[in-house]
Amino acid sequence: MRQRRVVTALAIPLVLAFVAASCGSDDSSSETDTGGETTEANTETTDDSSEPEDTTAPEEVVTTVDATDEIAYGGDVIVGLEAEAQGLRPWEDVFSSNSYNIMYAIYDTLFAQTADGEYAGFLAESIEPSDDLTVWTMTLRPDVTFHDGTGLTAQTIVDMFPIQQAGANTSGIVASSKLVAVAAVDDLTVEYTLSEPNSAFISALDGGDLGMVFEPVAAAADPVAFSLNPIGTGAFTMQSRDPDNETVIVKNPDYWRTDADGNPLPYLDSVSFRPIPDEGNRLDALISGTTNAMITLRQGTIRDALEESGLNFYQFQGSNIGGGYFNTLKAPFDDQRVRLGLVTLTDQDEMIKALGGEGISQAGSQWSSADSPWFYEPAAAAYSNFDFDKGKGLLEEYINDPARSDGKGAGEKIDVTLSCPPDPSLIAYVQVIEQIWSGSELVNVNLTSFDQATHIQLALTDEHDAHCWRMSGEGDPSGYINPAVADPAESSLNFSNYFDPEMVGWTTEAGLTTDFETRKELYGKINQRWNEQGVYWYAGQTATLVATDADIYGLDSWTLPDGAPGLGTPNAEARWADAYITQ
Amino acid sequence: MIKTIAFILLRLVATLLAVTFLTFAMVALLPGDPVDTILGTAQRDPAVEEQIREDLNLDDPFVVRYFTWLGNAVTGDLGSSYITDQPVADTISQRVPVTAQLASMAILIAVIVAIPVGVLGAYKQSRWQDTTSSAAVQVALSIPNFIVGIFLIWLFAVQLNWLPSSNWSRLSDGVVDNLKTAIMPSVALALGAMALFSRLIRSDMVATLKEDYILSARAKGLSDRYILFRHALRPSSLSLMTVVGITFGALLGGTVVIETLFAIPGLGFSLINAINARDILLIQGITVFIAVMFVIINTVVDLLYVVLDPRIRRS
Amino acid sequence: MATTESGFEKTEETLAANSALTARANAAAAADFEVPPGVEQPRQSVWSIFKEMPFLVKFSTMWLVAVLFGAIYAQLDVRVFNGSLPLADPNLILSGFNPSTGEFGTTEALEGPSWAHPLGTDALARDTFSRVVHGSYVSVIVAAVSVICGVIVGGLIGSLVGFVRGKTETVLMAGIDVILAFPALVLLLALISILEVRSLFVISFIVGLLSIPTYTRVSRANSLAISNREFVTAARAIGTKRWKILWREIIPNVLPTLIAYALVAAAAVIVVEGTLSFLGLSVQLPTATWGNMINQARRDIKQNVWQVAFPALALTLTVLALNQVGDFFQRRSSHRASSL
Repeated sequence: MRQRRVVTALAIPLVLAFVAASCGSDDSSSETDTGGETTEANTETTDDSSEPEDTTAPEEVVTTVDATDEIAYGGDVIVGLEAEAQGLRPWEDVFSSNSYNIMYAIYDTLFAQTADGEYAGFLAESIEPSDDLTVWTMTLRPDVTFHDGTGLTAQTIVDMFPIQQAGANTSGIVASSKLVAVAAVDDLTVEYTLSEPNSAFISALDGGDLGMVFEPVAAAADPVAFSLNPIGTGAFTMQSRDPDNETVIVKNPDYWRTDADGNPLPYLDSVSFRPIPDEGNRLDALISGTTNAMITLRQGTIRDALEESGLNFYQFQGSNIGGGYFNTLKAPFDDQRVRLGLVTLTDQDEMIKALGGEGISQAGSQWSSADSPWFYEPAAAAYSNFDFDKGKGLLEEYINDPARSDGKGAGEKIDVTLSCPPDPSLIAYVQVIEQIWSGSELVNVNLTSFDQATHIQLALTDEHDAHCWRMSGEGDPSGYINPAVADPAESSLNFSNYFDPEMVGWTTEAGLTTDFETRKELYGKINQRWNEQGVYWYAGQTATLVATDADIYGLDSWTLPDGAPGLGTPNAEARWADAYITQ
Repeated sequence: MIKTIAFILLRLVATLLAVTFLTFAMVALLPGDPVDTILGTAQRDPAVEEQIREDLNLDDPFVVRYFTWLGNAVTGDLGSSYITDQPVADTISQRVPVTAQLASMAILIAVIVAIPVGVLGAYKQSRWQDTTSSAAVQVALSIPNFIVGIFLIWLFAVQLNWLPSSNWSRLSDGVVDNLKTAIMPSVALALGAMALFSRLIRSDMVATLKEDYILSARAKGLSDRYILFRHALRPSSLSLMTVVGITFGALLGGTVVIETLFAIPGLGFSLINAINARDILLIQGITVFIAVMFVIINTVVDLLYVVLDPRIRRS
Repeated sequence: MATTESGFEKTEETLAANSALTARANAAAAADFEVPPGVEQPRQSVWSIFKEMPFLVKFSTMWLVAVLFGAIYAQLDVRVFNGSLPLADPNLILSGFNPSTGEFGTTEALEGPSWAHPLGTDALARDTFSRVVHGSYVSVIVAAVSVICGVIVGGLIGSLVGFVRGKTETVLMAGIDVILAFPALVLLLALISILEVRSLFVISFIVGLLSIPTYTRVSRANSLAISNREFVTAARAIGTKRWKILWREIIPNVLPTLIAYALVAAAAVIVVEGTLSFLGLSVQLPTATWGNMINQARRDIKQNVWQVAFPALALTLTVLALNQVGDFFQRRSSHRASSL
């Protein structure tokens, strides 16, 4: 009897968590390319776990703004961005939340994610794979023109391909998605040929990868000018670009898309983007009326913004998660006890508090948020939550082991260099980690920080111990996880260097089937293995915010052409084509 | 005088050469292979690597590279950023008018405030007006300008809503809007310069007021104000002008923090962004530009001094 | 200035003395540093000098002593006594898990001043008072290293050049002018970011290097004037070796003015470190510096404005104090000269 009650007691929170997970709020698709940049976001989790073991009880974060019925045309919006978009060329310039805000307005993507995380046609109508998943046939929408009048045909897509193959941004994705050839079957039908079966190929035709459609003739003719004067099929055209100051886009009168009721888009007359790097000033600009909207990926700013009245808040907490990893090829991190011990000594809640995001972001345990359909229970259970004594025990085991891999004597402390980019919030949470690791009296911690570009460099060249990072996103897990399990001898994108051919086998298997449950379990098992091995530590899901004046709506009620609801504002990427100002 | 001017110009050329050489060396002698910095060590296309090596003349001896670069720089070609692909010279020419306007406005404000403060201090030497104003000036000099900036934003943008809190409206888009965005950063920048100028004026005037001709002017019965502003201020104007020139040059490079705070697209803002992005060519271009401008401005001031200072002219 | 020199030299000298670049150095002290102090005076005791000071300067001196004391105390605490002295740990996050007690702390972040925490706690629930005290160490080092660099190297070069003149002067001053030509902040930013240094001493050293030219100019102007004084001419006439004259007559008379200038320059250098911290280019976190405390606290300024105010106040007061004391000594040495 007693045993049964215990089992029931344990089952309830698990069931609740499962239920909560399936009734997820929006998921969004953000391309935080593990091979590219780290975004500046910090993540936070709520402190609401009822039991210390349980990291899977997320708090529902209110993310939606109720759309009004009074859609009105006209108006100009000024948006404060975190930083200037370095360039607006999808194949060449690195993406960030900032550039996405501009680019989703100027370009359309072939496919987009719906609120359920599925992919549906946007600029393209549909796509069909062959039985062996190596030939994908895509049908484009008719009567779509670029801003310069050129028509969108299958040949456009074919012409884009060589540019994408060579482009700094997309060459890696072309390779990893196995795409080798693009051919035009007829005016509106494109055939993609892959070298290997890839069941998730459609996810490469979304946002920041190969799906953003640009005018290839102009792009090839003068790529430098194209960055200042991009040509796409989107709702707005570029009017002026004053880098570091203001970028202005204006309504495209010939835009093909309509809203769910058949009204032509966009509603707004113009949108101006202003980079305001200073977080406090960006919020002040919104409050004082200098701007009408702003984006932020910083917990502290979100907290400050939420305290203001008279604003609309479009929050999003997706699968992008902050944290870091160990270099498993380097002693002592090649020993599981060291890794697990160190992870067990990280207090995720405290780290989230340090980031300023208490109550704003959730604790994480894997590369999908608890609201995501990809969330895998056993992986969450396998993540080591904070336990000071247990962590110490694991480390002590290693330290007293005469055969310890770092070659030091028994009883000597282990040396860890912990590196994060010099963003003050990141440094703050890193200090929480440092305090506990040092406090265990078993670790010598050396904190270093390098600018973002160098930080990424160090990851690629394996010159790191414990390295801060930001993982994952809303898209199909194959985009994030496949590079992270690759053989380090062949790919520098497996930053942790943890390699087990079995895991690669799982990803290959996942590429061979389109069955969701099967793929979910395969990717879940990878997360589980990572947690069991202590490869990653997590510092909370990334919470992001788009804050606007009280009369701006539409950012999370946008729909795809077939009427399905879109994914809202993942990673603070707002779709200004669907925004409107009420009277 | 011709001799002096010739000497100054000769010195200018020599300094310019040295300055450009040092800047080039600083960047070119970076530890590590520049190609690594630019491309990263991920999968590299050998053809692209070859291209960069060729562009940068990396295989040539150092001095040859310097002169090639110098030759290009003189014709306005400072290379193109590897990150944005935009020509460095274009980026700089877009940013210069902004920083120049900020610097000019800051100096104007500083001079307008400094003259009465300095004159007052000299006039009422050691009395309460003097000690109070010099104390106030000292405090102004001591507060870091970014703190002043933060306070100004809080007061005028957030609380009073009189001014926009950030960004820049270009002069070509309207004078009023432009002034609204320029006034707060200029004031923040002006504080340090104002303190400097008022100290200079004050001590110069203290010395001048001891001269005999001031005594005779007073004996003649001229009013204090007339003496102060017409007779006593004039000798100080030369050194003031000198310092103004130097401060302008210094401000060209000293606006980094204020521009970052107010999100103003000037040279300083670009420099910091370039530094964060490790955009080597842009860092190099901006540094050289500012240094060269600084040298030229100082030389111009020197020349003006020669022309205007009767003591030197006569010798 | 001597009348025996050729017209060109005199022009050049006048020009040099009045040139824009000299004026920049002089402007900082409003032309008062040019006045040479004259013959050696009997040394006064430190206490009598202190008694001479006006109230404001006295207060400034005491503040500076307090800052210095705080820096020393903090370092002793960390390096010698392993934190056992009665000063809170500046890096201990009081709200989090405390490894030594095995429990979670109860102090909140961004608390106001209290008995336990005289200046409150910062965004990471660390004791602000302790961080301000530890932060003074960084300011002291930056100021001290750059001053020492400047006084020693700049003072030596300037004194030598003003005394010896001729080719040595032309060559050395040309080099100095080139360094002076660089806008210091820009060069500093570029160097620090390119070299990727975060070591306190290296940063201070670079700042010191960049400030040498101004010290050189000041000491050169003084040395020029002193070299033309009767006692130097007399010493030369007797046949005293040049280096002896330099060492015994020139340098001791250049020093007082130079040190007075150094105090003012130190103030500027401390602000520069604050600016570097603000831009994220100074010493590595979690080391506390007044600049990065201001920067970190700014994010939470709406919750607690005091966390910005306290380090800002420390910074401002120190700069103010240095200026006051520097001015006092400069006035003092110029009075002594003119009283001759």
